[in-house]
Amino acid sequence: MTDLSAPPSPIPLPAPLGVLYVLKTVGFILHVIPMNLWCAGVPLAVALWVTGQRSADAWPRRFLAQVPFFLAFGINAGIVPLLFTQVVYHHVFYPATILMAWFWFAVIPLLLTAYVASYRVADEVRSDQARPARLVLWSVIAWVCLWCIGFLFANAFSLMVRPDRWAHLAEQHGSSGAVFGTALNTADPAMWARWLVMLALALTTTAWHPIADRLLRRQEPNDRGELSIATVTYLAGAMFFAVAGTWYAFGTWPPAVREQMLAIPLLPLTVATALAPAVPAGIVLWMRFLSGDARKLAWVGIAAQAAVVALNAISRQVVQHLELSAFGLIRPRPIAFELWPVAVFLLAALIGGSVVVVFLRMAYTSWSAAGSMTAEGSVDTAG
Amino acid sequence: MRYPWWYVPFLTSPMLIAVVSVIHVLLAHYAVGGGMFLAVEAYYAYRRRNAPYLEYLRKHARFFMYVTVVFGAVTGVGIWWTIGLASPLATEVLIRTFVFAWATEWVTFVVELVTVFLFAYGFGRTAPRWHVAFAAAYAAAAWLSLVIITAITAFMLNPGRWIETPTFAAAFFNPQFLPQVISRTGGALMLCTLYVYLHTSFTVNDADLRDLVQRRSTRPALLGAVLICLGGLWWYAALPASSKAALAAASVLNLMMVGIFALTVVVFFALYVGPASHPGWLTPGFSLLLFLCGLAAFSTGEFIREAVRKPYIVYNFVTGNQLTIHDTKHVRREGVLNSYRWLHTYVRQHYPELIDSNGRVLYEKLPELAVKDRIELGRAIFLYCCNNCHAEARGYSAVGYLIHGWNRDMILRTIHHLHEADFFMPPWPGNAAEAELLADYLYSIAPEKPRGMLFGVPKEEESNER
Repeated sequence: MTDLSAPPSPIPLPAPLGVLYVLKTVGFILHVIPMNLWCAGVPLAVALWVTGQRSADAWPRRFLAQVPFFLAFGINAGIVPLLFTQVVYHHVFYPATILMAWFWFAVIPLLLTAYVASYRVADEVRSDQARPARLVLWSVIAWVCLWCIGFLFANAFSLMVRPDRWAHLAEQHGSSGAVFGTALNTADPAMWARWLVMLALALTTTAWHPIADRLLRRQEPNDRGELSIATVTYLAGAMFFAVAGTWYAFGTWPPAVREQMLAIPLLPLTVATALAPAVPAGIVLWMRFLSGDARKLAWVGIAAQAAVVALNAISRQVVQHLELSAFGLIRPRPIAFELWPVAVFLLAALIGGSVVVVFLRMAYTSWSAAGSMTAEGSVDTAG
Repeated sequence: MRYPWWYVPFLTSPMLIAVVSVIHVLLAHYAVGGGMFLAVEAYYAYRRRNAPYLEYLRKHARFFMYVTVVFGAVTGVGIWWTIGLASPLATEVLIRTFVFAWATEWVTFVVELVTVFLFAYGFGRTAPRWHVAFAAAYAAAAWLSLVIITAITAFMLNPGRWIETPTFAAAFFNPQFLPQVISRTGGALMLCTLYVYLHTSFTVNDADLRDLVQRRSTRPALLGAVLICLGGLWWYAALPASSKAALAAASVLNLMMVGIFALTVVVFFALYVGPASHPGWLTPGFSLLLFLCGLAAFSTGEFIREAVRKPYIVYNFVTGNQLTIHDTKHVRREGVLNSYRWLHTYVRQHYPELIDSNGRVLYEKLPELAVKDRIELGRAIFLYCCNNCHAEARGYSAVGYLIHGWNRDMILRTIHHLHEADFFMPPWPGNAAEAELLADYLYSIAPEKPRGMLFGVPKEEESNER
């Protein structure tokens, strides 16, 4: 196989590889949580809204009103892993995305459409006279766009680790050695498996939203209706995750990768990632049978789900690394590390994070006193 | 060329960057100037206990949030998307050099997002002090993001001592950094005023309120116009000699440059004699006209900023045809068909007879190829070496338009002396045999000289030359 990956970069790595991997993984975890919510939450909430859960206090209405925020933060957090992916894997990331350039470029109009649609949905559910047909139409537009984006990401990142397919795709989708940017990695089963795993994980994360939403409103989390939504969604998501994950690991991983993931020292990580959803599943079931205050248990469940997402993100990074190693595409590279840009970034993160926390606490306190977190008050100059 | 080339007929793929960038710039500057405007005006409205003005600010904040968070943010991501596809080597260089600057800018984005939501949804249920603090934090974060991203775009135009001393400080504090921060800050203030005018003229019916908004929002634009002119002059002074020469040599750029300054001065006086001193001038037509003037000046500015960088994407480091200066030497020695991995694979797949046992191209066999194959290989070389800036026979800056009536020898000579004939062209990266292939291709698409032109030279002589 000809090596079509890019030659070593003319610029050294700006930090040790380990630091870059950690930042990439942390960013990916931050991105996955809101991304999970919008991917599975929109169709679920609309389905429930259509089937009758339309009161102002019901979860579907509250969730749909919040989707623009999830989109905003999900897109924002997505910058981090993409930034560090381009630093460490530029030699495979750019060729893969250029091969599917028009589709990759289409992420932007799709995202814009999804964003606008989600605002229309939010405006519709906030109004007193929501029009069901419009709400469903905009929701379906947002949902289809977001799933398409997920599909395109699964394509790009699966194609990135399959350099053996590049020459064939360039030949099929090119002219005079240049590429049209119309290739997709649909012939690779790993792409489909990854997309399904992502959707399954999205269901499990979304399942905790009704509970988190009640906790943030200082309500008892074990409301029968919303706990039922959480339980059914979580169990469906966990089963789906088991099936898709099994296919992904045993049906699509290259033998060399599977061998390493199922041997020491990576075996504990693989097992933990596979079995982790059982913990939040157990907690959500326990909450159903608990008659007293379930707030602490609910917080533990949310933390456990965050751990499920984190384990998946870490495993994904490890598998990606091994897949590229199998093609000899992880090579030692020179490093020109300067401490002060990192220090400035960390300081900015500390200051920015503190400002955000202080402001959110302040807003949470005063807005809770003024009414709902999503409804708006009239303008008042007093105070 | 280290990556596959994305062929976009007629337009060329880098032009997609221009399309997305211009849209983004018009939104992103409003995101900065608008943040400052909202912070200052919220403070003013609370201090004066002016409820109608606060109500206006509430509506404007919602409009601002939709425009900047949805379209501004997504087109910002869109630029990043597009540069990775159309200009991957330069993107790789920028990302590796500035990764922690970008990471810091991401922090400012987080602060911007949180504070813009808190501000836009916080009317009527947040204490004024905190409400103004949200807007002030947003404005500070947005301006910091302008500072960071300006350092990166300024670096591309003149990286200064970074070429000899490749440190982060040298890259960030480049000669173009301060001038561009000043002019972009001015631009943000001016564009904000134009957005406020537009929004107000279409949404506010109360004449008193409209006059108040008009009076209050004109001041940032007046300051902005001064900053644009000061920053612009400094920008010009800090340009590399080649950029100044490119400006002087291209009459269209000259006109555009004069146009920007003239438009800025026109807008300044239009604001001064109009809304600043005469209440009631703010009509939808007037604000739309000013808005379009502002957009035209901004778009032109961005076009000039890109154009004067030629032949580089990153000055003195990455050339327009996606090679580093170091790469160029290597490629000229080895040949394009041997050095470009994707092109080499194409030759191996389609012309295996040209490949020796070591996998290298047998250049001595190229003359034996059929004419159509030479033209095909010439086209492949064109796409990888020239299509970054030039479409083929027709399209954006098409090479066809540049070689009307040229004969093959003229084309070949020009290829060999590309950067000597035009200093804003990169050097020809290939070897002599590849230049012949490219000449064959270009000659095959060269249009005839436009008919009906008289030069006083007998037609037979001209057609003989051709």
